[in-house]
Amino acid sequence: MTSGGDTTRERKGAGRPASFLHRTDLWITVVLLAICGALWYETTRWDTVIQQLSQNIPPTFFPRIILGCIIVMSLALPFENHFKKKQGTDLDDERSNRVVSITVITALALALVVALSQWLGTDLSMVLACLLLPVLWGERRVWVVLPFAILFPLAVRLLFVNGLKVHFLPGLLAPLLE
Amino acid sequence: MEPILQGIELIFVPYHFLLISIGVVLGVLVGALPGLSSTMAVALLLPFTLQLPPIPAIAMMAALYCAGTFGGSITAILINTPGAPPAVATALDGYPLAQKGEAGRALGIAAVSSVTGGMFSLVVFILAAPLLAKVALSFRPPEYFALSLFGLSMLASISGKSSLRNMIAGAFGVLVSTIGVHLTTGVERFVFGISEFVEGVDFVPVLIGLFAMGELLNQSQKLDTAMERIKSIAIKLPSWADIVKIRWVMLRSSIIGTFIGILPAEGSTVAAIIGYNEAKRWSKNKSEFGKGAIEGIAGPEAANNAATGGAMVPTLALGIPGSGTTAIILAALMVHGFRPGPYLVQNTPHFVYAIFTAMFVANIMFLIIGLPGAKLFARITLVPRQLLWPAVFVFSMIGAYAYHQSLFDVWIMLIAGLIGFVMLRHGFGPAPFVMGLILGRLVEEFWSQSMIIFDNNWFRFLESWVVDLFLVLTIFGLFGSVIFKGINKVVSRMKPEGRVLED
Repeated sequence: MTSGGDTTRERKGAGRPASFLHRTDLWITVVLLAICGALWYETTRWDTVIQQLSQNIPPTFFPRIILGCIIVMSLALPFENHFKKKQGTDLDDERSNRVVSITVITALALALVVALSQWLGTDLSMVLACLLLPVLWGERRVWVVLPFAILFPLAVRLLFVNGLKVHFLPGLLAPLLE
Repeated sequence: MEPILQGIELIFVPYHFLLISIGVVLGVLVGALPGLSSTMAVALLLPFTLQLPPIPAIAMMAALYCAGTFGGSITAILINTPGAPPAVATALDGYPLAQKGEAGRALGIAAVSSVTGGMFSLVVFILAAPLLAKVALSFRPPEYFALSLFGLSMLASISGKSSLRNMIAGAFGVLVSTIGVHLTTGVERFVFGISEFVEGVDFVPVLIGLFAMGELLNQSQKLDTAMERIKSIAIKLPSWADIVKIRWVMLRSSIIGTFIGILPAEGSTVAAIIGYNEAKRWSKNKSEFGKGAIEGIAGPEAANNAATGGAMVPTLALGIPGSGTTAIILAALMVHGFRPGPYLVQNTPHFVYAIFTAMFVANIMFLIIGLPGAKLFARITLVPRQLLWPAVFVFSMIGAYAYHQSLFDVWIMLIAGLIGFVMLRHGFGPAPFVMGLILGRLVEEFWSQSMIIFDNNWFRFLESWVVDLFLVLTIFGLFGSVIFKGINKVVSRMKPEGRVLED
């Protein structure tokens, strides 16, 4: 039996062969299986159709085949990294860096802009996006951000509303636009 | 002959010409920008083109596709940062040549090779598409089912590191395509009480989300990476001696690129890498490769542009996308009310020839615009990320909204973007997902029709030799590498035994 210290040394050892079971991929498999399980359950809740009406092709058949394929393929995922490493392909290089906080903040900011767009209206949502994102991403030059946040949405409005006849949500600007 | 003339006539209208020019300029700009791919640009362009008649709409997208592939080489040569994945191999020799002070020559060779590859593939396109369509006219639902299945199996070898992940992403795309009312029975599937899902998930917001939003979030991870500035350069056409030196490389790569483009799901990136490898393999000066060999620029550039025309062949003639970008063009055709496939070629040949002419014009145009304007186009990299990506978000938001003028589509776009980002991080590419989404509907439709014809007898699929052929190809598409590795292993095991016997 190896002592705790040895185990730690083994874990930190350089050039250690890839573990047979990849932990992140194992979690991905669990998530995929959970999704497939939930979707399979959903297929059991669909209306049943008599065989003659469905012409022997029940609505559940094709989605279940696909779900089955995904389940089978997902089960192989945790072992893939081991074999890929042997072939000299590293599947971890893209995800080796942690997701930085600005990415999460950006995603939340985008969701906020979309969530507010019904109330703000399309024009103000564009202005908000053009103000919020550059500032979040570190742009501090007011003389750059402000003209961009006004002129760019204006250009988009001209192109879509005047050029392509798209109706923008008026939102807060409704009295002004009327 | 008449449809060809009609097709040419349709494009040589000032308004259509203007749109193609805009497509070319946008394509070169987008191609030059690292992070912005022509696939994403075509996805973003889709909502704009919905208001246009189908011919200028598709012509503009096709022009952007051609020019975007060339645009990627500008930054690959000047700052060693491929603007688009197909230009990865171009950087290997383009940048070293630029470092020697011959950036202009490198760009000139890239442009001429791109045009040569593009033109060659268009000639093949114009010859092959009608022939392929003629063959496909005899296809019934079972043959189409097998063909679509083959298209799906090719996802295993679409660019990316993992065939398994490509297949899983593609299968999820197929699954998403089943959302909505089942055509045969009218049963609502995966609707979850959301009325917008009853008619299924639309391509447009999903495409924009996956390609544009996913990359936007990806770019937010690289905010501290400094962008290299462009040096002043003078672009020049390659000399006659250069042309003579690269003529066979261009021809070989054009053939390789066109062939790879025609294969369903195989895109320009694969073509460019093979084009580079073949240029090196056939070269007498292999040691020059990686140090600024002009064949190392001509090989991948001719191949990646040849793949664009090649990829249009199965897209238009069979309705099976030849690459990620053509999958979006295919979706655009469907949105415009067309059913890509042999009937499109048979019933509206002038339309197909119009697209051919548009791509031809685009190729000439990016030589005319791209060469003298390369210095200017390269300056697009000076636009700070902090302004460029918010602009992409605004375009994505409005693009997704404009399709049905519905905020629900904007949410779909955003969710697709988040999923796309997570997928990309873990090696599940967005392109296989999109191809699954597009092909999924066809696979289920043809499968259902076949099962009705065959009275639910699976074995009757094997009655047709075309189905058998595609099924064998599908098995090779899925397990080809494993099969060949197994054969290699057996052969290599047998060799030493032979030697022992000889001894």
